[in-house]
Amino acid sequence: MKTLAVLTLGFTIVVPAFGAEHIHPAFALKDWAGNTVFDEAAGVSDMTTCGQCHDTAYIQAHNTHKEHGQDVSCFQCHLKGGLEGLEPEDFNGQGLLKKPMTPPDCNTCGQCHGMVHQDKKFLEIGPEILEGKEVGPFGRTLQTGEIFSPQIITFSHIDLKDKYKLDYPWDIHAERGVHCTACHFPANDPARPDLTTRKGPKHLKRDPRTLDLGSYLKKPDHRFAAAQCEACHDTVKAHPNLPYPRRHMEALSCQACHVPTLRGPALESTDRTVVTSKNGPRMTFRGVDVGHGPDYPNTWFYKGYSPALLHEGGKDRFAPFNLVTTWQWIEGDSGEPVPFETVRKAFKGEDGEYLPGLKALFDKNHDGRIDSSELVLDSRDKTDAIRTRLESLGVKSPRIVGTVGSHPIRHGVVAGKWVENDCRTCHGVESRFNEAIPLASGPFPGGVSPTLDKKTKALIAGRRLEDRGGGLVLGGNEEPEGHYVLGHSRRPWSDWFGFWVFVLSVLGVAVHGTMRMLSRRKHAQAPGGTLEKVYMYGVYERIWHWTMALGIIMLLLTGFQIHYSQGFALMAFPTAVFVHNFFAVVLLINAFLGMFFHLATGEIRQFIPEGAGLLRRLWIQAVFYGKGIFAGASHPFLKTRMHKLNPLQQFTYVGLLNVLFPFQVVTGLLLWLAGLMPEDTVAFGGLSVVAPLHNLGSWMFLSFLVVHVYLTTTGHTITSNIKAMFTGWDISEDEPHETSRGEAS
Amino acid sequence: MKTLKPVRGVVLGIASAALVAVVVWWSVGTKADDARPTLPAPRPHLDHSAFFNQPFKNGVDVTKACLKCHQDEAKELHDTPHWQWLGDEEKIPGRDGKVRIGKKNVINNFCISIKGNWSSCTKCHAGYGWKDQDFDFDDTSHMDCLVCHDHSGGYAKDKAGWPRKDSDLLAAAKSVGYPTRTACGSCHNYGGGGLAVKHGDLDSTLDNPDPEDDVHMGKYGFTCVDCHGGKGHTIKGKTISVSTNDENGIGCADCHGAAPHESERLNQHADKVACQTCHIPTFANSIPTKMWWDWSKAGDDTRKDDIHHYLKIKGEFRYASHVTPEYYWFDGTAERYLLGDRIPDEGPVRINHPVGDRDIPGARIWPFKVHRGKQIFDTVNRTLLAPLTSGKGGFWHDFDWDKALRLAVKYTGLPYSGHYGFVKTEMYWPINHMVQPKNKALRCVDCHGPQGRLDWKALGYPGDPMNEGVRP
Repeated sequence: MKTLAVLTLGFTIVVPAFGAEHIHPAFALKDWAGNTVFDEAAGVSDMTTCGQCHDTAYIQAHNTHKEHGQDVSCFQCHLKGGLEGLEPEDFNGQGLLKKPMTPPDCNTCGQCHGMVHQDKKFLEIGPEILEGKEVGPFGRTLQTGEIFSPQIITFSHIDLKDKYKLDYPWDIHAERGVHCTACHFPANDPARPDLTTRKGPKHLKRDPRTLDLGSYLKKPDHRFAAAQCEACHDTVKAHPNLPYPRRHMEALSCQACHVPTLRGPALESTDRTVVTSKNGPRMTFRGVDVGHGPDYPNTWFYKGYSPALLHEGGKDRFAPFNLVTTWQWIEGDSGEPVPFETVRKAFKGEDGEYLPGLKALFDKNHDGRIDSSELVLDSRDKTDAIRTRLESLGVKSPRIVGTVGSHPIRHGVVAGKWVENDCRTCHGVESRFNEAIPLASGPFPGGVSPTLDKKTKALIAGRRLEDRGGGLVLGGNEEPEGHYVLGHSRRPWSDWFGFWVFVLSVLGVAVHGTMRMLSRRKHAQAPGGTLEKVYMYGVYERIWHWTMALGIIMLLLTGFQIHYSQGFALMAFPTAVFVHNFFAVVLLINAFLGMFFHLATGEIRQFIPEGAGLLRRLWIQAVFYGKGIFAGASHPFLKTRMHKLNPLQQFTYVGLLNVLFPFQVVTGLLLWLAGLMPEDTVAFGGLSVVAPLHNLGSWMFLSFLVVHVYLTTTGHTITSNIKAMFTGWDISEDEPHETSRGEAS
Repeated sequence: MKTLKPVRGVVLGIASAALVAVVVWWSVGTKADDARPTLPAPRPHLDHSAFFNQPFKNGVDVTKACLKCHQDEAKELHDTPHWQWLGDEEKIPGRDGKVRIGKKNVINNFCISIKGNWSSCTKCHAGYGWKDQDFDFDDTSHMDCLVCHDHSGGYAKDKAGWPRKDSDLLAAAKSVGYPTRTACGSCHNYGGGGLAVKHGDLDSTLDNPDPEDDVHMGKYGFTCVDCHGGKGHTIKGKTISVSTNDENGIGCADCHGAAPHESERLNQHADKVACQTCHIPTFANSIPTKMWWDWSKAGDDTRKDDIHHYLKIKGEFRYASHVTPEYYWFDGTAERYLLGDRIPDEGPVRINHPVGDRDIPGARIWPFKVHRGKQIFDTVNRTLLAPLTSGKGGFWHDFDWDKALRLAVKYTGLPYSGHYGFVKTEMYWPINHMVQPKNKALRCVDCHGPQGRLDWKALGYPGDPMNEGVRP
């Protein structure tokens, strides 16, 4: 019977999260010695009270709150209103507490963890935030700017930038009724085995060997899970329109795009070495314009800020963080931070007013009050005065330290069109990866320059702290942590080498062309043989050529759009990627068909330099371009239907088609594969090797294009070659002996 | 010309490649808004100002002038509820046989019944001179064209539907056009004897609405007849206050389709949740509507409350604004209390309770204004009674219930035992108008979760379906 009762009990508690029938039995409140007591004042102990049925020792030993140094009693989370809120009618005739113990709701969590706003009233930010408590009703909101509320942002009562466009909830999960405990639940909760992050062999999706409900109720493991997004969302299916979803999922945390902007008052720095008139630390905020009302947070102008994308080493991916610089007093010997309450006593008397001596010291403009600009330990006098005060309060050799800490951003999730969907936020020159993040602006308290704490140091590898005009900023990183970000990352050697090859081609063509024009005036066209129209290029050859031309031009345009996205505004980034891939396929098919044609018809022979004396003939052709052409000499090799290409052309095309083209195809394919199968691309160095090579290849193609187009003008007339490629009909000089002509020049 | 052919081939090749690129480009672009093509076009109307130049003596003269050309329209109007104050024959759920009901013969819990009180009620009749039971419904010259078609703004109606003395009939006749919001609103916004009293989702804010008042009318400039159109003076749409079904009704899906949301989950809701439920989160958002009317307190000379709390002739009221609707299953039909029905022994009398529950196909959870009150009934026969109020010797003149009830017998044909009392009654008004811009629509947690507004148990669910895993 008892077992059955426990089972029923377990089932009803575990399954329905809300609107549940509260079946917790009435129970006696006990003090630490186990005596029954009737009110909070008598010293109720949760260890003994809850210990009547639950294994409180186990719960305390397996407790996330405890691990973080927070002593949270059972009643704080499980009894609405806490022990303080108990009324006589909450007890039954036998003096047992009948008010139900319930699973915690979000408001309960919000008491310590930050802004949770679930009631019908419009969201406001109260002046209590000025106390700067990072554990309390503004906890995470201060650390990161996160606000967990189902309300539409537009309807809040705070002053927000573009408020009337912000037509979405503060947090989509809050709006969808996914409450705190839906993701943060006891690690051994048998109802949620598939959401836990328990490690097991790779081939097992979940471990069915859970606790039975009775044992679970006795020993709920209070080391709370933090269910990953993937526990509920199929990330690949959820992104049908995202190019290369696997690559993106691998390199980015979901929040990187799904928390693009935070609009709560997130700290930039907090100076806990001083105490403001509101008994809080001196604080600066990110994306908040405090304006003329520093004491009235509801009147501030909240512009919002984009969090820093930092590299989580363990997962090798980027996730959003807020960096907060904190200055505080520590005890010189132990290194323990001095409690803020002690600092407050150092500044203020019993009456809550600043001590008279300090007032004189801080109030530089003698207006009778300490302004926010005056309230900073920017001189030795001030620092020493506070140090002396602290010493008199029993703090041993106090000193100031400044640290930059990091807070991961997990909430404030948005969905749909509010997700960051502008590719250029990352894939642009001014990418978020490269954003300099202001950390603190001077003067620094006690002249102490802040340092990164250990956790933060690991996150920002590759970026450096920089001193810019008295302020401390975290510099950007072009190639964040070895991640080559297309459109953002640069390899100067590839860009510059390619660029110079291109410049030299243009210069060469310009010089050569000018010389030709000049020499043309001197030498009239040498009288050639009889002119004859020759059907030079067949239909297929021309289609093949122009498809190739169109493909290459489109690939160059879209490629440059992707790589140099900021300076180039031809089309949107994703369109460019799509069109680029499209024409890559077109070109590849064209190349295969072309190869088949040339093989099948034997036209391939035209490309193969025949017989011996290639070097000599190359030389002859080069000499013609370098000298003869200016003297009005005729082409050394006759262009005929069977010999369309001169030796230099043969040489170039063999190189182009057998080296550069495959090179570009292979590097391009690898780029594409890197998006599809990110893990397997590492073998050949990943994007950071392949992408610059592909980029270099594209410059080569562009240079070829320049020279190629120029050389078409060296035909019988300037346009005759181009016309021939359209019509197929070329003008040929009827000369009987090609070799003799060659020898002649 | 042999040489040109290959050129064509090349051009064709390039052109087709370009075409493919354009199509690809296009398909990457954004999707069009679905309901937009169904936005009503402006309705041009023939300018009638040249047809009339002599002043009219009275409304009938205007109508006669209209009928010179519009004989057919008169025939059309003749059979409609706007003229007859009766609907088509219908089968009322839970009853045998078919009846015709309408304003002419039903009872409500506002002014109760028109019988014997015609002159006051027929102020809103689309006709002239309906002052007693002998009104001739075949006399088309007594139809009132102007009440709907006036665009001058200078036309208003008085007792028995006659034009108010200060109406400028000539100007009104010259101005005629398709019905404006104000024309429809001149009756429908004032039902129940005053502004916003009856419906809760219809009041004079809709004459010139903001998007926040009604997104269709306020943002897209809809007029009433854009949705309530219909052929030949038959107006589309009806409500269960004077009818018991939704034949010839209007559905949101007529324009928006059955799956208008991007989210699949929201579209799933549409099976069991009316669009109005989420998209009209509250009604009477500007002007308060009457929620409670207690006739039993009427006749007290000593009370000096303001007219929105007490009137000697009518009793005690409660008005409310920003009202959260009550939610009931509704399949489009309603039960109906008819004159002479015996009232239940216990509980309030439901005059027109909507039909529906979780298992009835087509029933959806729908928002309602529920107007509650206490009204007079026969304690012996246990029937609701329709007293004479505004009529001669009625309660509003002599403040004598017994007399008012005795005098009413000859009009209602209902027996009166001589013993009366007051009983609680309820009337259900489905909420359809004042659709809000989409950002004001209800969100998940407005219905689901600890602060949800729906009473799941009352709706027949074991608990919140979000947690129970029961799909709507």
